[in-house]
Amino acid sequence: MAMAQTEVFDAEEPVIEAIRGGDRYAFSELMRRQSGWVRGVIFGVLGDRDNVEDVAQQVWMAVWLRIGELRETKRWRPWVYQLARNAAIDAGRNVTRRRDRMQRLMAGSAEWRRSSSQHKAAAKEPDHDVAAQEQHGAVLAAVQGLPPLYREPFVMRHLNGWSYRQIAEVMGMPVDSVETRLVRARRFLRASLEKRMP
Amino acid sequence: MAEVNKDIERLIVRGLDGELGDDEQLTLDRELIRNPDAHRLMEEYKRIDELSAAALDQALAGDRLPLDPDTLPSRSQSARVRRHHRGWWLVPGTIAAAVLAVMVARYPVTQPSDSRVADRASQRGEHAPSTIRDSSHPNGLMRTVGDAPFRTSPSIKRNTGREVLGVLGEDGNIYWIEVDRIRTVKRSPLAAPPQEL
Repeated sequence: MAMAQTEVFDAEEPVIEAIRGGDRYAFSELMRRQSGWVRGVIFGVLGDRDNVEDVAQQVWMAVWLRIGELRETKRWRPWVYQLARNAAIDAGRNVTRRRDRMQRLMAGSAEWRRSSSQHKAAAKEPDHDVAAQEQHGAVLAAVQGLPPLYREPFVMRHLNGWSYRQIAEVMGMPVDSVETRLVRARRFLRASLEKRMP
Repeated sequence: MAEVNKDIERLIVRGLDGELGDDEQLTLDRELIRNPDAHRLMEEYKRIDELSAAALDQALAGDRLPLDPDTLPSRSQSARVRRHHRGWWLVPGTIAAAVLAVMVARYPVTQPSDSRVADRASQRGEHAPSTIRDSSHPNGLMRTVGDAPFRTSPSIKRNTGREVLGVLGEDGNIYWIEVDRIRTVKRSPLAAPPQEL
């Protein structure tokens, strides 16, 4: 079984060093270039894009404050990945807890049912490209419906265009496992989209 | 939906992800020509990939900044927080001090000063003063011991227990507050006051 080899992301290493020294401009550049995949990781874990931005803010704040804990500059990407993953897991727990509480509180409430139906009606309002939006929505829902095990590498691959080796490195797993998960993710999506978009 | 060999399916996925070597690519190409089901599967996966990438890109991508760099806290603030956290030993230290304080309060180390005064007064046949100033607290801790004239009995015992309270100050120092308290352990009925001559 091939283990992940260390992939060199040299381009950002000087930026990371500058951030260690307290350079805010370097930090904003890193955020600008890397926030896409961080959002992808968060979405991959949460499977819900509503809270992605909030969690991303927490992650970047943690990067700024805890950069001193990063031992090897070249390992910055797995380090940021772990911060993002942990923050998303925590947020997921909170969201589930909050949702359960709300459902318990509002169960049987006529007002809740009314507002819920209004919300659904608003979501269905037609826009300039209904068909494309519906297709995007169906695909995104199918991706959200993937098991987290497969969703994470799938999002990294498709949002960020990362190679198997890059994904394996940040996730700390063998390349073969990444490959297996991506094959199964496609299988899941194919079955799911056949139902959603026959 | 026709079934495709799993090894071929794996090759298709790796081919779409650009992970095939030359030999593997050749094998896949031959299989796609030979097997229409494999070709159909690859087309489906290709479409799924394109749609997924577009949907994810629309939902998540972008170079917007999650944080405004100007609002970031300074590193010195975070360093202060870390230094503060290094004082974790204060917690068990405070607990140990509290235990010590309780033990000191239970087993006082000082003899009661006022009982000595009262005993001396009774030996001389005098009335004890109605209010006794604690000699250990000249700044004014006054303790009322009774207004009526009395004669102390040897069975009356008063103790001064010292209680110590540790308080963690905002400056990180621990401040000790010591209070001497009177404890009456046992009191027998008072004898009749002596007759005035």
